[in-house]
Amino acid sequence: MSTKTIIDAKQNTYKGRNYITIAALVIMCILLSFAILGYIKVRAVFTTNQKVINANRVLFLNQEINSQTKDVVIGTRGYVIAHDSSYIRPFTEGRKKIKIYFEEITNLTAADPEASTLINRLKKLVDDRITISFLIMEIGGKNDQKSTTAFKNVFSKANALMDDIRSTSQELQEKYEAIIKDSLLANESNLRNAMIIFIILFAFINVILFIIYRMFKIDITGRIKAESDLRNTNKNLETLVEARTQDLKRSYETLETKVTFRNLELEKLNKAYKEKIDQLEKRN
Amino acid sequence: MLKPIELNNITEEHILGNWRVQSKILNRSDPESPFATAEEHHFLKDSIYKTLNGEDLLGKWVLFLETDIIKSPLLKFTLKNQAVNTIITLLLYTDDKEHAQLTIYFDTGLELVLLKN
Repeated sequence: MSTKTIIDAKQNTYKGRNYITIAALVIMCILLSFAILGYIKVRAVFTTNQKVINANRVLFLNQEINSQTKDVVIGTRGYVIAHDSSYIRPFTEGRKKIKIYFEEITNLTAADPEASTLINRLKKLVDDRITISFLIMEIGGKNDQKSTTAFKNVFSKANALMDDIRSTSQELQEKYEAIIKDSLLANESNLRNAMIIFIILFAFINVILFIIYRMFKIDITGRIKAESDLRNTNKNLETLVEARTQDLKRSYETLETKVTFRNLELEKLNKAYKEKIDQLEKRN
Repeated sequence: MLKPIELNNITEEHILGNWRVQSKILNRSDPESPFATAEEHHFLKDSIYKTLNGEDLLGKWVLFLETDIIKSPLLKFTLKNQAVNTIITLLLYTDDKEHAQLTIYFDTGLELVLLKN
């Protein structure tokens, strides 16, 4: 093999290694992109879920505010009709709860200006309604003509406020029901996308693992076969050498036997000639 | 497949039969001898020996072992009232005893490779 061929072979090997490195980097980038995309989608699902939970809480608080306002109104009416101070209790407790609920709902809707406006409006209406309840209780305790007229006016205003409270609350409820519906739809879409991304990612990783496995298997199989071939060749070579050695040994022994045999026969001949010469000498 | 027979274990039974020449190495001193020219060598019972397809002759053959000096068995021929000594250098037989190869070496240097089948 010439030096140039060796250099070319080395350069080709380096080129091959570079291609493999580039391919590995590209694959890593693709995998990373898919993983990031999948993470974003999953995170979006969690964020939307939190949004749904908050929206449900807002709906619950809205209903509770409505309900407590009704309790306050009913307590006021009971006190005015029966003049029984036990009706003051739902009124007082209702007020406290309404205050707590408004604090929580205000926090939950702080990020949404439209909802905050609605909450503020609702809060103002409920506060007004509670103020009127105080007034009703005050007027309801008196029994003169003037108070009766004032009671009618206030009661009419209270009814109008209750209507406003109901409509505002309804508006808030519709808004948050729409938010929940949209969020659930978005969640469904995000989950579907995340699933698709992870399936693709999983399949891609499997394909890469399979390719790596095949590469290693081919490499190992080739190496095992080469080792086995080498072992067989060595074994055959040993057998061949052994056979050749035996042949040589046999040939040498045969040659040795042949030489000995010929020497013996020559000795016999020599002996015969010697006897013949002796006989001739004796005759002479 | 032909397998070698241990030289010390060769008996007359191994030699008996009709053998034809497969190859030979001729000696320079006597290339026209009856042993060199014959194409077939018959080793028969009662020590009868025949050469055929060359100079057809009738003689005697005897097998004996002389292990003190030469480890190979000796084949002694008597042909035209002359005794000729040879040694067996190789004898191969198949397991079924159907085929055999015999190599004999003469003191003149002649070597015959005979086949039996």
